[in-house]
Amino acid sequence: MTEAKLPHTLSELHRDFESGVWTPVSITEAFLARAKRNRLNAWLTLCEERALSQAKQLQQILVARGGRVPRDSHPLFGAPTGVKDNIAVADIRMTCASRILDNYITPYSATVVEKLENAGAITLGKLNLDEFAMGGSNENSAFGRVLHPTHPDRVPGGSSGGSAAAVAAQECLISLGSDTGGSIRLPASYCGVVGMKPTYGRVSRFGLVAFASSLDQIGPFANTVDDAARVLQVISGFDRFDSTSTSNSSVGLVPSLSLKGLRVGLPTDLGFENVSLGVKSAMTQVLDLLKRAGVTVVPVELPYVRHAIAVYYLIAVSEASSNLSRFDGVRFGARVEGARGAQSLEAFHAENRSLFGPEVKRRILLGTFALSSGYSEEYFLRAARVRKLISDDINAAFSHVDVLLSPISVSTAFKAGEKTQDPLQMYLNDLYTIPANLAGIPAMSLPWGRDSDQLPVGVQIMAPPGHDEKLLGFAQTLENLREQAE
Amino acid sequence: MENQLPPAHQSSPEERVRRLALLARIKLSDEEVRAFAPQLETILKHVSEIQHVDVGDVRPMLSALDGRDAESRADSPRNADDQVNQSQRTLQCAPESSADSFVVPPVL
Repeated sequence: MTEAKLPHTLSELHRDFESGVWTPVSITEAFLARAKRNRLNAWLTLCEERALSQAKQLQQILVARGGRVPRDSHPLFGAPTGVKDNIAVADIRMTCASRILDNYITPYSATVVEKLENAGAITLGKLNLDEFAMGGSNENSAFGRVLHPTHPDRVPGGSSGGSAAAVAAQECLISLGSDTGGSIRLPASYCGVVGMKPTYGRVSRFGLVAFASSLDQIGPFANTVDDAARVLQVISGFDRFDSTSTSNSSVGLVPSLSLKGLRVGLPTDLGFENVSLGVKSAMTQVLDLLKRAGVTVVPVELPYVRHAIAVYYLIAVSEASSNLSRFDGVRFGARVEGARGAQSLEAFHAENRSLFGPEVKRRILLGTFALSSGYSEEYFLRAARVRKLISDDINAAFSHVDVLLSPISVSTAFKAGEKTQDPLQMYLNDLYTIPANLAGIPAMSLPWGRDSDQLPVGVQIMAPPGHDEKLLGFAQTLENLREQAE
Repeated sequence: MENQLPPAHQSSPEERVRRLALLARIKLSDEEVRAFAPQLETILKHVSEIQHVDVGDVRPMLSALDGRDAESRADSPRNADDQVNQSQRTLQCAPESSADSFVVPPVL
């Protein structure tokens, strides 16, 4: 008997539960079977027993309610979900794609995971990433690279490559990733799914292994804007265990946005003259549709944004060098066998920390430099000053536009190995995504067709801080326009 | 001071990498030092462009919350009635632990 068609959205999933096409247990088994094949190397750990146990409980709830899905209390009821492996799920291995945490079992769940599961999501397992979220291609994992869902010789983007690829390949329905300089938006764009980074502070980072604390945010991957919104509504909100969590931050209802008279800003410093044909074509199409719908397109100047990469690769690496100092083989994680003979505690630490991969080591060394005595004023602090200038530019722009539109990247997914020889080349690929992290504003990658090689393209939408709902409303309207045009 | 970096003109790129590795407490092989040295120089050259930005008297932005006060909570443990279990679970995360301590090789 052929398997029923897998649902593509939460709405479809819930309708399928109510019509009996799928049950929580059968849908979990179906997605787990796909995840187990691990065609793309997206999964690092599967929680089969745990997932099936969750599914059975949900099945009982469904039966008790006469087959009706409790959408109000469990908006993510039965959703097969993947979690990036730098976000803690209690009693499940969490590696951060690093040999230094190869055997680490976390004793607690991240706030976002607790919220997801309370809303009915079923955690299938942990998804592959660039080691400690450092990378833009998912080629930096200690457990092998993740393959692009449709073009296996290409990268899925990073660092949340596994999270994006698994949704695109229907190995889970929704997933969580983290975004520090574009690590949700870039893989979302390359894989053809929706990926969103919320306003800084709206989603708790408790249980996210910190890379750069002033930049990191957790966010959803999904097939539609509506599903991304639903996940964000569940995971957002004040958390007293995250001191950077803001109050009154639960993401609310998505407004129905009229495009007529809406002002869309096009940053001239994040333009699309020198991008690939596929990216240029997508941006042109989007602008055409928007203009015909009555939008006013406004060129916007962000003169300090040209320094964004330099600023990011000083601030992020500095914060990382501090955050990763905890990995020393003493309280958790792996120890190197040879470390036993260490002559001092410092030497013991140094031996164990040799387990980091090359990209992580590079960034820790850079951050150590930027924070060192005699250099911190001119590097780290100066970068923080330029960050303020960039952030002010962006906030000033929002005083006369409603949203900003830009490419996500200069191209679609590149070939594996193409940029690994030159770290700087990889860093320069983050040009379009970094500014949103520096300013703390919400930003999304919305899929917009494919290029001539059938590679997915995404366009970036940014909104003022705290206006995640407006961004989602705009994205939803744009998504509808795209569907009508197809 | 042992922990300080010598000025750039007083050391080669490889010496600089070795000194940074010492500060960062990461053991690098000779091959890694040779590979990282030119890479770090290239990256540092690129990021040094911010030296030419006129920042005036702008204050450093150290958080995306940018001045908003972080909310503090009471200094009370989560799962206050489960402290012993929580301690044990934390100790179990370590490669080696005893009843109440993390165990490391003797380094006296």
